[in-house]
Amino acid sequence: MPFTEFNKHLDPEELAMITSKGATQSFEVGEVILQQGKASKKMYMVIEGCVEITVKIMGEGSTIIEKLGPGKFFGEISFIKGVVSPTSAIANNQVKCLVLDNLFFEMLSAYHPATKYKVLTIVGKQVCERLKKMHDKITDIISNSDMTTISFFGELMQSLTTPNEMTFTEANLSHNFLRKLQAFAAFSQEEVDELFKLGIILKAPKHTTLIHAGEMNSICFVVLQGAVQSSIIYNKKIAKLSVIGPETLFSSSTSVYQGLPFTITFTTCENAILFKLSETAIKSLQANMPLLWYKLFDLIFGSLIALEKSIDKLEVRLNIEIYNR
Amino acid sequence: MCRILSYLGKPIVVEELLYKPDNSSIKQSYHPLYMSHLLNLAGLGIAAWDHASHDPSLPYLYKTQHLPFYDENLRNLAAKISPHCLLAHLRGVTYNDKQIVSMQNVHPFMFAGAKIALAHNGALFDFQKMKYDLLEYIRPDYKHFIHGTTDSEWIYAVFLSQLPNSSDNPATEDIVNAITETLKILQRVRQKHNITINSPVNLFITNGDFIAATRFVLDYGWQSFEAPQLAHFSYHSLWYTYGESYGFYDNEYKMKGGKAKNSIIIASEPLTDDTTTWVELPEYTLIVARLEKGEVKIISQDINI
Repeated sequence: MPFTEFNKHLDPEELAMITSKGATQSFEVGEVILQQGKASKKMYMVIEGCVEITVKIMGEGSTIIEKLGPGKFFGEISFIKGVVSPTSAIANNQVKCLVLDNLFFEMLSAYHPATKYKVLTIVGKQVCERLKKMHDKITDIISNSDMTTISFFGELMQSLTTPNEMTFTEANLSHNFLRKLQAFAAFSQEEVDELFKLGIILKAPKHTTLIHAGEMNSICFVVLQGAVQSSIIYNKKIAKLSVIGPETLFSSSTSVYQGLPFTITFTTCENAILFKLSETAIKSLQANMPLLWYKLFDLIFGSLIALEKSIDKLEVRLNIEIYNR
Repeated sequence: MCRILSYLGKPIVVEELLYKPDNSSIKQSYHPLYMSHLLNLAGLGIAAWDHASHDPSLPYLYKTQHLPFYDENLRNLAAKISPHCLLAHLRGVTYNDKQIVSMQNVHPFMFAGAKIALAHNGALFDFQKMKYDLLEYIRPDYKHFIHGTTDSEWIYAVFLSQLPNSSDNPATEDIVNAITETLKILQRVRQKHNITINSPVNLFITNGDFIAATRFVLDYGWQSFEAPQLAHFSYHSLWYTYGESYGFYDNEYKMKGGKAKNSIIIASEPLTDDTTTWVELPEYTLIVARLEKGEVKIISQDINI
């Protein structure tokens, strides 16, 4: 079975396990695999054939946005976020897909967490490539628009605003509170304690840039209080993607895909208290506590899918609205 | 906590928006898709502008503090009138006997003599502490029109006071400035009283010619670490859909596409389960829609106060 990406990253035992446990499904030419606007609880990988990803925006005619061949995944947004499918997927010829559903991932989580991590890494890299493509498309739109630019004073303020490290006591954070964080619902109390030993608590004033353009390190944050804005910044013009509130994790794309040259900028839009894991902490996790790292990676992967969803929305908005002018 | 629907465009029979879609406004009162833990049972109000009506600059105003899904008069009215602009508000309040459910507290607010209406989805934390400090920002002629007990009516009075004098049909720039100034005033008064708890201020403002709406939260993400989750801490969304006309097309309620973009709905939540023809606006966004030569023009900007 030509699993393309899987062949590169999984060992033969893992491949054999996925072949035996994962379901495959065939589709005739023109058959709708995913319908835009309908819920889907599955993610697919093309094994054979070609799948067209199409989208209807605001009731307009259908547009083909991508053609996917063997090794490519689709359906990840509705599967991970539990929302209706933002696009349709249609078989362009005779298509065979590997079908990954909740049951399959639960089985991987319970018995083969390392394999699940590898699968999510492969999907995550494809999502990053798509984010990069959308990022470049948006910077093109921004550069050709007469959007307002950040003032000199605004730039100066941002460059002077830096976060300060604080202790758990100074932040009024109890262990009990941390253990109950919804973001870490899938973690045991001991795992949350381990994680918080590795990271630091930051107090960041409004307008602090936490992940800069060109960030090459793997870092991740969890908002504990306050809010953070994700944006694409180009030529001093800002296009907002989303606002991230408490109990939400966000990370640099390099946490999933090292060396892909694009960055989403994360800046506090209110005063904020954050938990930060540096690259050193992440590396330590990867080396010494792989099971904990896999669980954290699930959250990082979820944040990547949230970004994918918001970057699609931003593109639609930039084509409709007279924005920030 | 509260649901708002606004419409601008081709004349439409009100029941097409209030009753018929699978997540219609009336359904959102007893079965909201979002924030479903809190029903919106404390009243409904509509303001509807119709070019063909007597004095078209003034809307039909209908308000009731009763449950809207039992209201036969509303149903009959909604099946008859077809305005080009509509602002409908469902009031949702927490379930306790301190809440005052009355006609005076039903949105949209529209003072006598004013031609601009406002509806609010959100709540200002500790409003009682800050209320009288807002008086200095309200023009004297508006002060005696405040009859209810909601923070929203006070926000309306502050907003009207920030518009240029006798401006019934303000320019988009004036609307944007007045909204921004209103939010800054609320922030300033909160700071004076050390109020730093998350308070959503989703405003819908219209005079029949434009709709302005905000998705905004003062001190977003701030409440005590150990405090129980409060209603005003939850999700206050803002969505829109636009196109040629809204109705029942291809077996579903949706905005019909096409070259002409004549109509827009801006609402707290989509009117259908299928949200693919809707766009959700992120927090800290202000949007203004206007009809220009029959086309809807949408201006948006990030709110950065």
